[in-house]
Amino acid sequence: MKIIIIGGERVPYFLAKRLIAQGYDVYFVNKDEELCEEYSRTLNATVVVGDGTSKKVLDQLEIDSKDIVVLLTERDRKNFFIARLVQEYYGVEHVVTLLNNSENRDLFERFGITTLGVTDLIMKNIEPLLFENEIITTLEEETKGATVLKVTVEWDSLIVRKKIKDLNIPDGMVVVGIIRADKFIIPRGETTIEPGDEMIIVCNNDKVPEALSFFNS
Amino acid sequence: MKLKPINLKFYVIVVGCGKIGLEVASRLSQIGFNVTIIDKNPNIIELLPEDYGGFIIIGDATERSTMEQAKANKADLLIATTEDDSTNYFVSMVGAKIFGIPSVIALVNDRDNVPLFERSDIKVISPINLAVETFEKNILEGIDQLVGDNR
Repeated sequence: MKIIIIGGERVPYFLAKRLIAQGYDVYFVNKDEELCEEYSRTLNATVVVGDGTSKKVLDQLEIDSKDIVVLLTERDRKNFFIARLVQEYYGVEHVVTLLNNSENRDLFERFGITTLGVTDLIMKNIEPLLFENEIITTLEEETKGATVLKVTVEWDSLIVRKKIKDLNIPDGMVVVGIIRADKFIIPRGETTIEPGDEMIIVCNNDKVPEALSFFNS
Repeated sequence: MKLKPINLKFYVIVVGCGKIGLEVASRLSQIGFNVTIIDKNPNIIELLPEDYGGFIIIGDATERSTMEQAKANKADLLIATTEDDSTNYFVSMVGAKIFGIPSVIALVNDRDNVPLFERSDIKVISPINLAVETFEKNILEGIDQLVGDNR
């Protein structure tokens, strides 16, 4: 079994370094000649200079169905194309790809291609910073798809001095608790929101941006 | 015999407005189909014939928003004609699998890629294969004639 890394720049280098240290056979495919030279100088790996979307280039690797293919190009269409080429032409079972545009995830998943959603990952990490709030936890293990948020209500917020029942809270989110002056209030429809309240909200993962903007408005 | 009425609502999306895409889109539009061209390059507008009666969307067809703008879910046929096979394949698959377009035809520039497109249920137009087949046909016909004349 060999591991074939196509595209990318620094990630393949460090990935290969670790894999080689663990005793795996690593193959690179990259268009960038200078980069390939560097790989072959510093790593004990097989390097093929060329376009990974070309079957003629891939044929040089003698790919086997048990090989693992890692796709790191900056274009989803290229990653998808190479993934499908190696699946159809060499019967490769395990393909892992960088996913640049999250909306393409469904297409990759349809063909059993594992995606690494970098954009989503970055978004997830900067979202709480953008809204100056804290995403407490993503309950991935227990209840797949739910996120717990903590939002501090500002003085000038639109929801201040309103009752929960009058807020028209969008679907997919619910206020489960309010922290007010060291007390924990279980909110009812009649509960009025005060400035400085810390609201604990549970929402579907895909509703996080909507929930944050709603309770911050 | 009952004639089937021609469905003039037949809606075709043409991705890529190179030499082939331009010609195909113009002809389909002249025949009376509803046609939308998607291309990244804004200059294509000047290339289109005056009687082109379809729509033009300047944008990247590999992005969902562009396909949504083109109402891909309403399309009866998608034709991918760019010079890049990975783009043609990606757009075809998004069209068929995500937007449910019933029929997809793609230009396949590199002959090695033909089986992949075919196995993915995409109808293939391969210029090289077409040229070779046409040559072959013409040559064989010529030989037939020669053989026939000598008889």
